[in-house]
Amino acid sequence: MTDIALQLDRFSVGVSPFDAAHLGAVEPQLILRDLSLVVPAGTRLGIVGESGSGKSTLLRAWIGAIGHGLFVSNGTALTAGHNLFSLADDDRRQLLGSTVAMVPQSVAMSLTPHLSVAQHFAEVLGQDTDRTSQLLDEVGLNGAQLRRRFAHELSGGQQQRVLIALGLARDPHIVLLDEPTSALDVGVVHDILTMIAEAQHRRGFTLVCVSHDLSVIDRVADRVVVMQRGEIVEDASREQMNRRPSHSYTAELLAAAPTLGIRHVGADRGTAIDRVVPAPIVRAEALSVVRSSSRHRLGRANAASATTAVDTLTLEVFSGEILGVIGESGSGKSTLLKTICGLLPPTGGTVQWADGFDLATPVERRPIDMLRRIQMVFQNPDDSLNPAHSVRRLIDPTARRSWSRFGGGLKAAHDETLRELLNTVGLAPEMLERRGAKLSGGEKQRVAIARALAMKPELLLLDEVTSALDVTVQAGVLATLLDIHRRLATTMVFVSHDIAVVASIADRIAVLRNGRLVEVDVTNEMLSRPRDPYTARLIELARRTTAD
Amino acid sequence: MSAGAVIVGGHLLLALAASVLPLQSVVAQDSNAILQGASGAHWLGTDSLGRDVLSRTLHGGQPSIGVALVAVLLAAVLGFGLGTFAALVGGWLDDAIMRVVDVLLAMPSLLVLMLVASFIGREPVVLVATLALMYAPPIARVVRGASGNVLTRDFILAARLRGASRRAIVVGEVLPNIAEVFITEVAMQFTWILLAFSSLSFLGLGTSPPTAEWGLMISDARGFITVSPLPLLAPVAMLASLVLGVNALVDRRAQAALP
Repeated sequence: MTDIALQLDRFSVGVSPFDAAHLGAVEPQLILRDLSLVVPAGTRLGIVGESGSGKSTLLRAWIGAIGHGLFVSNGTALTAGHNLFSLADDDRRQLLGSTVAMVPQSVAMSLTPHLSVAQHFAEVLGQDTDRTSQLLDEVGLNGAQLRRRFAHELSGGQQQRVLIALGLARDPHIVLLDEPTSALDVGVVHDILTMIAEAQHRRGFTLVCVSHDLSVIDRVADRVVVMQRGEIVEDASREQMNRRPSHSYTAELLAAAPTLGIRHVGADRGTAIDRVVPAPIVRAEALSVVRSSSRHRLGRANAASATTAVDTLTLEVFSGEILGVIGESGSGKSTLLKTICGLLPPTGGTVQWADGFDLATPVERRPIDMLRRIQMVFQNPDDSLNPAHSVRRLIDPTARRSWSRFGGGLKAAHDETLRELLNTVGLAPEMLERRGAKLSGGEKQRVAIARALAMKPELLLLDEVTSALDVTVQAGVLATLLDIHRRLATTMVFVSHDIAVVASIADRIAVLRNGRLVEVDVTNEMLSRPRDPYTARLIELARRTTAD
Repeated sequence: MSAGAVIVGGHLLLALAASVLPLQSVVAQDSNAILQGASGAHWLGTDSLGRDVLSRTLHGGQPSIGVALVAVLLAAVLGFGLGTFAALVGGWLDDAIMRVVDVLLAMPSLLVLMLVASFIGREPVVLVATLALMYAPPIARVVRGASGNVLTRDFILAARLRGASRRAIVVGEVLPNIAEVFITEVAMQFTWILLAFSSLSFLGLGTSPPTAEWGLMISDARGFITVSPLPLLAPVAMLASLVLGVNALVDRRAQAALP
């Protein structure tokens, strides 16, 4: 084994001319520009960057597979002294797994659902059950028990551990991890990062970890490379970077990541808090929602297997406040929002509007006035904006008036109104004629917020609206939301799995777990004196990932 | 303009122009000139009854294309309606509708057409209705699948929160997102209906002699292929080129729609 594990020498990757022509690009576009990098054997390197920065492509260059439509336009990438692009297929296959192993990003798509865990290992190891169990034990799973389970029966965290164990199966000298924790809950993220760090320490392999999240890189790497638009803008030790980043982009990344206790956005929140009236705008009492996992469209469901998503929840949303709701996946936070806006029927308890209107009424049967009052913004703007429509069509509430129950209720929106709306969410008025599908992630989410605001709602439900966004974009959207709150005094319920994000925007925070309310308190109060041990753990984990 | 568009456009133009072009009579027989090759008087020769092949070939597109167009439009409306309705309501009604669609899909359409033509009648109205009914199921199936995917997306929820009616959701939100597959499927079914109708005429159950129609002409001419191939080849070429043209056009559209 050479002393240099991985190397890049003036390495560039471009979009193939054919595909570039397809995209309408005039010049061949470079995904990676002239990268040079040396990774000594046995070290731990983190690569951080936002989506589109080329970090995953860089990682894949070391296994000689950069993806369809891309080509190496210049330079070489060496893996343990081999250029995997020039090797014969058989030789390359020999190196993969034994010398270099890659753990792919998409956990859910990387395991075959109908194969058992043992069968996945059999493809790599043959029928070596002892070794399989041993590997599973090493990544913190009960090997003897889990071997027989099918991939689809595992939780996200378990799947991620199995993938890492598969990567380690043939004792690779180099392990490449692509976003190892991006779809996992905060508690699980902590455990998996600890496990990875331990495995690296024990086996001494060279570790390269790619993530959009600096706090993840912080936990597993000694050296950090920051990428932006296909270039390396910073290459420094972890300590050096946290203390004094040399590049402005790195500083921006560090500042944008919300940390607990510090208000990063909207420092002057005094005015907004003054407006909170302790009069509930929504009151839920002993609310329960049982969800059936059956085909469910436009309000009709037939019971198959049912889970209690919200369990006897009593909670009030005060007029004018931003109520933060946090919880891990499956805690019922999205269900709560969908119930309030009438997309899901409650199965027990009551939920009422301030004037006594029964919010159990499904959205199709709500009077127009009520419908207008409550609007929701969804997690993923790619999914919540119809890709076929222009921004104008998306945000204009009177578009296709004749088919909407708003028909007579609203006057046709004037261009001026729509431009003003775009201005409110921080978008240029020229965006009005653009196709929604052509916008960036942050712009899309702003359009989605504008669409909700177009109805002039009194209550805005925000479901993980920043979790699909890059950290700098997230900071911008949070600032916009606070700005809207200050100007329009719209009551907001902000749901997120990330306590740091919620704490940076919410006046009060409610913690949900398994559909039940753990506690609800004023933000600063909760951060300094959590009453429930579960809340305390969430806060501690969030502090640890940012403060390490 | 793509090759497919040129071919399809040319076909439509010829079928429309056949009535106004200075062509010879479709039905006039000349017993002195049967099964002749191409000549100045008859550019594509004559058939076994001495009728002008060029005139009959150009006129022959009218019943085929006409019937196929009307039938495919009906099938498209029926298929889109059924497919989106099933996807929208879900539950047992969805299952019931789609099982009926499956049953219709399982029936050999030519057999059904022959039975209908034999026992109910051979009027264009009957044939068009039967063709529409038999070729709507595949469209319904494709629409059902595609709109099912669209209906699970969050922008449908957002539309509901804005008070959109079911019709607004189907036409405003779903249709633009499935237009590509829908149009492709409809165009494909057009070629199948065209072939089915011609087959029916070929079997003597579609249009009746002496009408000029491609299937009927192929049927009439196949016995004389060794004597004079033109009366057979001309309608075959027309039928084949139209089907190929539609396919090319659809293929082109599908490729243009790729990101």
